[in-house]
Amino acid sequence: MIGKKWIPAVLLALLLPLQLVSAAERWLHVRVVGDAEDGESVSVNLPLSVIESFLPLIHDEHFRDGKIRMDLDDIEGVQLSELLAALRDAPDAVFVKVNSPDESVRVAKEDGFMLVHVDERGEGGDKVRVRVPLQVVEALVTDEPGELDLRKALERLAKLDGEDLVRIESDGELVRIWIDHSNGDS
Amino acid sequence: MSRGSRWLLILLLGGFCLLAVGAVAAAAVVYHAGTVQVDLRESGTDLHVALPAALVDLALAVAPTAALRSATREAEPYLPAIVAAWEELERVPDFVLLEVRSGADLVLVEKRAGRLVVRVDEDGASRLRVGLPLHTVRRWVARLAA
Repeated sequence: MIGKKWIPAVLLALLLPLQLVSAAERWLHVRVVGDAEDGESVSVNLPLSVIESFLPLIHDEHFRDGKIRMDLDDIEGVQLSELLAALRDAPDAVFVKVNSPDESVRVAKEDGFMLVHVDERGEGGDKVRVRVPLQVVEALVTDEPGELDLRKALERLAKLDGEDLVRIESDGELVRIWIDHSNGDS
Repeated sequence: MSRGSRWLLILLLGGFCLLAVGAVAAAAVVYHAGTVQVDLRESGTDLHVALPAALVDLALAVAPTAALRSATREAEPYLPAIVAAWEELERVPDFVLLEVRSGADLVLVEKRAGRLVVRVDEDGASRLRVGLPLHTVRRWVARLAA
């Protein structure tokens, strides 16, 4: 007979695999919160594993094996992969900085992330923050011109946890996109 | 009891047992397939439908394959992807897929207890609720994709 003192340990052992499965799950979250007057909000929570499960199975003219093909006539001749390799190897720096009477724009590489900041001047001006890991951008680009590997990029995205990828504040509204291990209850 | 009466009794009992087993088996199939639930409240009208999903199974089983193919031709390339996504939805823990709130209005799509539940409230009152058993819907789509 198992003694009472073993019951918590047995329960813990039984629950541990469930905890591990739950912790391994990654969720993409989108939140749109309107201003206080509207009281509007939109919340989307999607398990990344669901997206990963169906991406390789879509096959049509522009989408195959988790890769999307786009008409990129405008940038024909430019090898995106080489461009990104150069970006990856470059030291942290501010690539674009614009200060105008209306807004300031800053595009920079910092600690393995591409950052885009846009700030409209004046009270209540829009604020945009985009923070994308370079690893994700690298994974997105393939050797084929005009082809983006969404499946691989998603695998890299799944390693992120918690910080906002996109944050936009505009007219009292807040839009956030991030990935973490919570299913959205918290 | 005469020999003939005894045989008649045995046959009746046997028949009853077969019917009972059949009823239990049918109940098990219906229970396993779950129910498709629709609740609608509109302009003072209350509509409540709880359709055994097994009926849809039956309809899909007897429907002519050519007619099914014709109806789903455009969606056909995406059906395997839908089945895969649905399988994954069944596996993950319960969650809210979409929640839109605007004042007292609400649109909610969530996975709860093996079902996909859609809820629409207007002015704080329930207007529409739809509940679909995930594993049954996956089976329907898989049947269409086959």
